[in-house]
Amino acid sequence: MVFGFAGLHPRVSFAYFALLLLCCMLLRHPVLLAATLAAALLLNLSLDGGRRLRRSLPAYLLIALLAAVANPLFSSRGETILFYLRDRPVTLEAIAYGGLSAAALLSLLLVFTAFNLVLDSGRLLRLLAPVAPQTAFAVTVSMRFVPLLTRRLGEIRSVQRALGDLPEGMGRRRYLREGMETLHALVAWSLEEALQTALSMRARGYGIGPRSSADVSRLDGRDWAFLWVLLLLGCNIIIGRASGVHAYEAYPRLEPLQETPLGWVHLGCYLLFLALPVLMNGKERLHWRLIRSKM
Amino acid sequence: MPKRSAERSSSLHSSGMGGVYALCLLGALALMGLAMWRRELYLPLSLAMIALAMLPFFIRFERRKLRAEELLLVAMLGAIAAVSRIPFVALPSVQPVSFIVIMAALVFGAESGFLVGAIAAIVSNLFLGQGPWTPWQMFSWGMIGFTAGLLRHTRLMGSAWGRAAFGFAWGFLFGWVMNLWGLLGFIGDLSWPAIAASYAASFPFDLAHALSNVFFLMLFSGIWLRILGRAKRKYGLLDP
Amino acid sequence: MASYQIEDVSFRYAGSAEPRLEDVRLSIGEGEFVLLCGPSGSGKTTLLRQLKREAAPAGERTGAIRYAGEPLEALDERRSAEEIGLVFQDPDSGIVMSTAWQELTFAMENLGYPAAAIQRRLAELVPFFGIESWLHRDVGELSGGQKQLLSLASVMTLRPRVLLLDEPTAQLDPVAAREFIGLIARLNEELGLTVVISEHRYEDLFPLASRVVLLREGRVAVDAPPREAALAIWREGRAESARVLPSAARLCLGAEPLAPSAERVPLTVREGRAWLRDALERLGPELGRGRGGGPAAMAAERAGAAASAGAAPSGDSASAAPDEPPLLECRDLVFAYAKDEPLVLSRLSLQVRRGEWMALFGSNGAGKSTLLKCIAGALEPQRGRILLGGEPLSAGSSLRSLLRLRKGSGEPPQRGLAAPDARPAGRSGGAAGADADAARGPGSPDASALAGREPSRGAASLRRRIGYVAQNPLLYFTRDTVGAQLEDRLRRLGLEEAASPLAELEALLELEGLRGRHPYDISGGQQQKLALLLVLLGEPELLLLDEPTKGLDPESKHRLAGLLGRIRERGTTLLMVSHDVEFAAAHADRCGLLFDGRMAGLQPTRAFMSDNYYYTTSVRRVAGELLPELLTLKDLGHA
Repeated sequence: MVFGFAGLHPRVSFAYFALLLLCCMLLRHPVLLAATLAAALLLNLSLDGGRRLRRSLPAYLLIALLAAVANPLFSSRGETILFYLRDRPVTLEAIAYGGLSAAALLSLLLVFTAFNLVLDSGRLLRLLAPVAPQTAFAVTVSMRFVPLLTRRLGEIRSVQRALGDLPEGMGRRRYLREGMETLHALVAWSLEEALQTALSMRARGYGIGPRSSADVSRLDGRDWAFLWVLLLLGCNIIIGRASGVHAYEAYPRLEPLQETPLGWVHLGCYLLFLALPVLMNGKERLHWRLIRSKM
Repeated sequence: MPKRSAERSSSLHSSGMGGVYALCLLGALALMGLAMWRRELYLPLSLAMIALAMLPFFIRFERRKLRAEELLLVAMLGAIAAVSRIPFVALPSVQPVSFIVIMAALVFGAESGFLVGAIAAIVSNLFLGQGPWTPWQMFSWGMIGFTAGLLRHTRLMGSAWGRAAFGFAWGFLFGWVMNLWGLLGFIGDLSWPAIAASYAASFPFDLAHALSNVFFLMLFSGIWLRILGRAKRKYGLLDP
Repeated sequence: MASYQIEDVSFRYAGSAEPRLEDVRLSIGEGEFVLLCGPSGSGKTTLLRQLKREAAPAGERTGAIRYAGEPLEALDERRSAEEIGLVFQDPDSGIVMSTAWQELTFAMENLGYPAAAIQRRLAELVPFFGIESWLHRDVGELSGGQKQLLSLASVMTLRPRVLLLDEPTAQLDPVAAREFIGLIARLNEELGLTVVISEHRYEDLFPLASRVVLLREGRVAVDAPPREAALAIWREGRAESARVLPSAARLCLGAEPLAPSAERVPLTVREGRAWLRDALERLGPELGRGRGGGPAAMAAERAGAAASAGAAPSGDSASAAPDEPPLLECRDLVFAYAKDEPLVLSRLSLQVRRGEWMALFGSNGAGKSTLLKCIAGALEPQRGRILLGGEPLSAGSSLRSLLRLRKGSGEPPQRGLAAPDARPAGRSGGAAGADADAARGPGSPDASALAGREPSRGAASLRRRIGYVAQNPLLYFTRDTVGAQLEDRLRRLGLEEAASPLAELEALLELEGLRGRHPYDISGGQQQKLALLLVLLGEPELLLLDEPTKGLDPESKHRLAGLLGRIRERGTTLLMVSHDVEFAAAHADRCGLLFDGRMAGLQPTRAFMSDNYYYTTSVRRVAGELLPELLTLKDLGHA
């Protein structure tokens, strides 16, 4: 997807995600958490229809469930005792706290899924390049080798199997040994080949002087506008949180969910912040639909 | 550029890096203290701490003028470590990455060891997707390489048993570090039983990691040292 | 003005006593197209690398090399990087970055060009090379031809004045190779680029070159324009040198050894036909007398022989009678790498007779390598049967073995890390002509196959009767000496060295005295023979060869053919897949064409070649209907 939210400059989308991830880690208020979770889900849906998420969601849910269950099992803080489990009191507060932690964890994982959809490896490296050019370059070269090495591994395994070195039903020990044999062939071969790569780099002027960057992308008007909105909302959210708005304490007794006028402003800012990418994608979708109906 | 090349041969503590490193370490410690104090800030602070701890390595890497061979060696070993699980897919708990990082560190030194470990983590996460675990993985594998490299001329790393013990210890340490982020960030009330339970839960995985490290280190150290030693000669990277 | 003046250059590699180049004296003018030829080890690559300072190997050089009048050593390093471009043999190791776009900008970034200038150059260059459609692809998804094109384009971004090419098409299939060479010719003609190329595709390059330089043992043996060079090489009277000449030239020079002038030596098929038509009129049956009988006489003799002997060109003693049960039989093989991917083999059936040498052709992605891997047991076909000597190798359906596996270990086969091919995005590669055999091989298929499924124990011992020689010998080397590698193989086969055919095979393959060496330190030809030796130690009845002649020079091919002939005499049946029509025509008994996952024609070699229009030898293309029985130069009595 080139339009909408994913079409922003990588730096801008990174800033958004950095703030969003920070919120996932800092906010423990039930309403805000629920909103984060919903927004993360919606963001995934609007980016790729939730295809990527579907693959990992079961595992994520399991992790979250574990986090939710673990807290009441090990913590007996809180005043509302619901029942006793092997002489240990299980409290409502501990269950609620576990649930909140689990929700925060789940939203963090969901946001990362969306993060990976928007900032793929290429964009992340473009982001890294101005900050740490040599590291970004080394990682790019390393990434180039991964598919090559994967293919080579396949070829080596084919040869091993054809030689009869990977028989049916071999034991664990043999399996590990043969796996290592595969790696030996791979390492020796690839390190030897990389000498050619070094030659090819030098032949094209590597090491002569400081490298430049061919990246011509820059922040356009829309990127700047987005950044300003982000700055405004972000300041509101962070300062509000730092001054105690929407601080939520589960212990010793669950706090009632009351909103102050300041709280409403804070909530409004946060909801708008969460809705930004979905709104942008929605607008884009509408735009294309209108164009199509005109044609 | 004579100045640059002199810098290349310098040790970790010369050319101002010592100060940077000390600052980063102090900062990391301070953050850790702060994190313990303000528990709700734990996750972001610990991430910042990890970043600070790794920063000096990357600053140093950025400032070096690398020959093509040196760069390719780190990139290639990182990529090899990243794909090294493929021949072992049927055994999910086997983790040859640590072994490869240790071997690289023993032959090429602490700094290269750190970079190979960190790049292996970055690269595999770039393919599989980033997550909150990425920095922790970078840090753990990087540290495996760094410590192995620091100890490479000691009697411990000279003997097969010593290497095996080192690998065994890191098998568990790695799992413990990786447990930390989830544990501290999301299990609300940290108590010793909770910590113990989490480590007990991950024990089988950590044990498998530790044992596979021992297995690989006992049986395959020799041939790996020879393969990588040959590469070191051919790449013109002999120790001064 | 001359691009290069090479004055009495000698070169010795560090740590070697023997000089690799001796008194090389050569002047290369601007805009010339110089073809370096000679067998492996003659110093082509060494000479080529001397011409680019950054690529010069460690060693001791005497004499002077001047570039545009300046000594090469004094050349500014920026200028050297920009003006002298070098393209390597293997694009896989030559490419540095992970996407095509990054690779194109790599060289310009190294030299610190500003971003705007880089864009400007790309805008011009990308359409010239036709890279638009895959500009933003990952390098891993590109076909071999595209990768080599990318290497060339990346060098061309610096606008070099000289292009040095070190066997650039050795790893490519014929179609991609021809395209690549055509592009080089275009660069030479349209941009006036000086080209120095070392390459074995002489048929294609002789007509394009403006100069041919033949190196022998590090010395310049011949240095002349192509027609004069052809004549000079022929007149030297050395069989191994004559193999570099295009078939048309050899046909002509073999028939008229005293051809009066150089300008009449034909280099292309078109010229060859014109010459032949004319020669037949002039000389008639006299043509080629004095060299093992004229083609006409040969033709008559052949026609008789073909009728009686089933038209096997290289003797029919080993070939079994057609009604004997076949050694290998494939019935209705079906194979796909993943559920939603197209079938690579679709109901392919094939019979290989005991003792024969069969060659299979097919374009990229036709399923050649996949077929070999299925027979070798490296892949399991989804349906169909493979029988060796009448006994089944595969259970007919891999479902049963998969079920057994699942029950046995409780672990379903998992996907490996990061196989980018396994991602849906990776799937677009097929349209661009990516070699299905190579590009789909890794990730997805392997992850499941890695768990090692094989049908039955009986089949496992049958499998040992089949040997598989992959194209790249380095895949076989897991030890750091040749001796350790051989011992490991013997141990795995459960053989004592004394009781094994090791000594005999070592002698046969001329590999004695290498046991202390590292497998990577022996020559490419020795590496190939070592891989062959490792396979042959299992005493296979059927030997599968995957493109055995890829990247070899004519002389090495000739030696390999002799070797394979001897292996066949020991009682081994040969099945090879290849792109090398000339090689198969000269040595195989039967040839088949794979198309769309099926066999599309399997005939005795002579009938196969005569029946084909494209897949046939260049001699046949020259002779055509003029001398319909002429297929290879062997028919003319040439060695």
